[in-house]
Amino acid sequence: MAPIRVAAVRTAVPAWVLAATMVAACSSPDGGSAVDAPEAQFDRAGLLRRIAVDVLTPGYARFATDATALDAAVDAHCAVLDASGDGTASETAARAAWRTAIATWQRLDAVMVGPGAADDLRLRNRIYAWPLLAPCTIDQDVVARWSAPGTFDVATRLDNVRSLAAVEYLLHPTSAVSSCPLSPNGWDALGADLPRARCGLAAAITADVATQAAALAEAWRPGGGDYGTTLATAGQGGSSIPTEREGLNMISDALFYLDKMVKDMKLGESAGIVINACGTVEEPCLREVEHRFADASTLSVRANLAGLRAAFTGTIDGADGLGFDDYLIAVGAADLATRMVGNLDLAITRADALPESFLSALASDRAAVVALHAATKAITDDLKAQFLTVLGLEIPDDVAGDND
Amino acid sequence: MTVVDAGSRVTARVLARAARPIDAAALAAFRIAFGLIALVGVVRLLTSGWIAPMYQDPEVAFTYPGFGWVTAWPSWGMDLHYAVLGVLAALVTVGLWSRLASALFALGFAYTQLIDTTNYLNHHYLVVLLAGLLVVLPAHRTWSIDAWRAPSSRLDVVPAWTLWLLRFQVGVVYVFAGLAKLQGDWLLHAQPLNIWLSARTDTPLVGAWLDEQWVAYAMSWAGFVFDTTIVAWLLWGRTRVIAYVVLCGFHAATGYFFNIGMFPLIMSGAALVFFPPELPRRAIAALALRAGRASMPAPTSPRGPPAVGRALGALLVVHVVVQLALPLRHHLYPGDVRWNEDGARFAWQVMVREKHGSVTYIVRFPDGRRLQVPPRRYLTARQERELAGYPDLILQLGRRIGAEMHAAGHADVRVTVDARVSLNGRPAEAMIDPEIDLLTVSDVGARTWVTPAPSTDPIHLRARP
Repeated sequence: MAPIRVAAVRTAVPAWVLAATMVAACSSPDGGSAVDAPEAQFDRAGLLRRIAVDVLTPGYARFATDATALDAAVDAHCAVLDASGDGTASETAARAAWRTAIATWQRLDAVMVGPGAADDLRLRNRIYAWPLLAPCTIDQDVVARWSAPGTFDVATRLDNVRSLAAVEYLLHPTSAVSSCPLSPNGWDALGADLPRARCGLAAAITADVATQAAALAEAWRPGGGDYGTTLATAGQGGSSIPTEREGLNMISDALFYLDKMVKDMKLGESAGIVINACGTVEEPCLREVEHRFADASTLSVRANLAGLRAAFTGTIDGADGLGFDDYLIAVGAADLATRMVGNLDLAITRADALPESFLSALASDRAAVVALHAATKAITDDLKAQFLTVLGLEIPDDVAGDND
Repeated sequence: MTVVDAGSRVTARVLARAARPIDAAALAAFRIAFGLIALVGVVRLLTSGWIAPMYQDPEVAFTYPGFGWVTAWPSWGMDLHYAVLGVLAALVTVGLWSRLASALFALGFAYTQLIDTTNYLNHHYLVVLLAGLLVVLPAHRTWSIDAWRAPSSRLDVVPAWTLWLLRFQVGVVYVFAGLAKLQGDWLLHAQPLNIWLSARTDTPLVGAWLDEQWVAYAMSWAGFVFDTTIVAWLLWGRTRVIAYVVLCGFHAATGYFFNIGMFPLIMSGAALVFFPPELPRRAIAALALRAGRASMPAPTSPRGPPAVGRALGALLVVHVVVQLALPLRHHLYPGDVRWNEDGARFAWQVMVREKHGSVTYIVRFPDGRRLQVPPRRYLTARQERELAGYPDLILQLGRRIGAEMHAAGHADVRVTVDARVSLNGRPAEAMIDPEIDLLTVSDVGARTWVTPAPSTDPIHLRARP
């Protein structure tokens, strides 16, 4: 037996050396980390709940109400025009309803997740398609609908000729001249009926927007589609979102709206800070301005920033809740949280300082737009770098390939 | 006896051992395993929907020096290309026209990597190397249709150096991947594992511990010890089996936690070369016995193992030297390879850093005006992610922007870049001198245009109870 034992030991010892090496490695001290204990209890599900249930779900309900009000206001305006009345007041009311609706929408658009973002933003684009907008084709639709209202169907049209962007164009005409190089067939024949024709198309589109808004609100409504709960319970049984991390990544992806849409497109390209379609350098490019017909870009950017702040900090009407800032603090990145919220507040302050007329800001106070752009860049620099790294999140649309 | 004599004797002894015949089954089994894994990898790519995002969606491709002429096939062409690679992998597996198939596979797969630098993966590079070795090794002369069709070419034994070469190639990956972890972030701060594991607390059973500091430290040190020593344990007969079990567990874990594709499967399969060369034949014989069939005959080569020609020998020596030199070359360059990425590719710098960044190009006109150019204008999201980590990619795109500006009539513009990058959770810092004109920079020699790596410690994430 002895020789067998010796042989067994000889065989076993090197194996144990290897195993012991691994075990020793596994039991290495933590190297005296700077931070040993959590400073705050953090509830990631609570963060998801705050954003999904408290911020977004009521927002979609509010937007559905606003969209319905807009539809009613446009219908009322059309009725006044059809009755050959003075449409000045009803037009003002319709425009005000549009501004209310777009302000609510812009808060939501800045954090677009879930049903509105599904299928490559299908529902989002049906409600508000900017930068997709084709004024000339809208003019053609004005004629088409006026000629055959019974057969005109908004549902069959492309996103660039419907949505709140098209409504803006239709409610804010600058002249009777078409946006097309050559007037569409039948345009000139509209004559004095042009305002009615425009209003008719606007009404058809606002009805569609109201329908889509209601569908979106229903998709989020507790007791309805209840997507807010789906997002809030990510990673739990019953949610279609498999992990909390995926839920957080969805919201993180949505926050990148600030980078592409606000920083680069709404501010940068419009003001000639970022390369644009006009080829201007440090000069405005009006065709890149978001709400160039209603001149509501200041309103839009303010609403975007407000929506982003609510989602980032979990703050609603001044009441703080769980947000990404708390998450960052909880994992030990308090400096980053402070810096990002500070830069967000700086951007909001600078947006508030902009003239109500974004077009006049571009014309006479471009420095204010440049300052706002710089403030948003400070946020997105952190968003794209340390924020993603610290929270272990992925950049949006990064679907292809492996790592190593 | 002089030192020269002693050296000569050692050399002669090594050469004799290298020429010693061993069972050819080892090479054949490796060829079959490689072919199967390559086939799985190709089918996975074909069915993943990644081909379009990798090759068709990008409007701009980042090129390797001297390979700017390599461009992607049209959409159908890339699908067909990968389908052909699958066929070639199958041919390698069954050993039909095996050498030609290996050569075409190596070239064809290398082509897919050369199209766009952002597609670089260490394990894809390894696949090209292993396929290339199959071209020169006599792996096709045993257990192959080639050998069946031409029995005179069949070999039952091969020289030992053939297996040594495979072991060397696999060993290089582990050892240099281990040495890449010999740095403060990995060993003293457990980064980037702390970041990656903290994001995986949804993992069943063990998730609750994954954001604990001690887990990150344990896994960092385990990974370092594993990579640097596993080859030794595999070479030692007494620890080989347990080492291989540990190896499989290690790769299963890394494959589960990290999105590293075929890497675990490739390494788990390739590491079988450390087992005795006769093992595949014995294993099949045992299976045959269990099935009640006659056992596979022991190798009886009608001829001795093939001799190595001078040209092939020289080629293999060069290969070995290059494989040792490439991973070490970053030591010749100033700065931290994880930051400037100078010498990072083809060097087994596997999963040793986490980088995210924000890159904005700034075109500066002679009159002082500035125009920002977001990389998004040119790149897909995947490319933009890679861009932020690699100064050479940032330089390439900067030059393209400059060329477009020149073509538009702005001959005197300068192109600078605001590249703020976070390394292992540190606050983002400028990775490239924000004042330097990228149009005047050459990527030959030390990257002095890249800033020094951050000197602060990486972040330490707290556990989230």
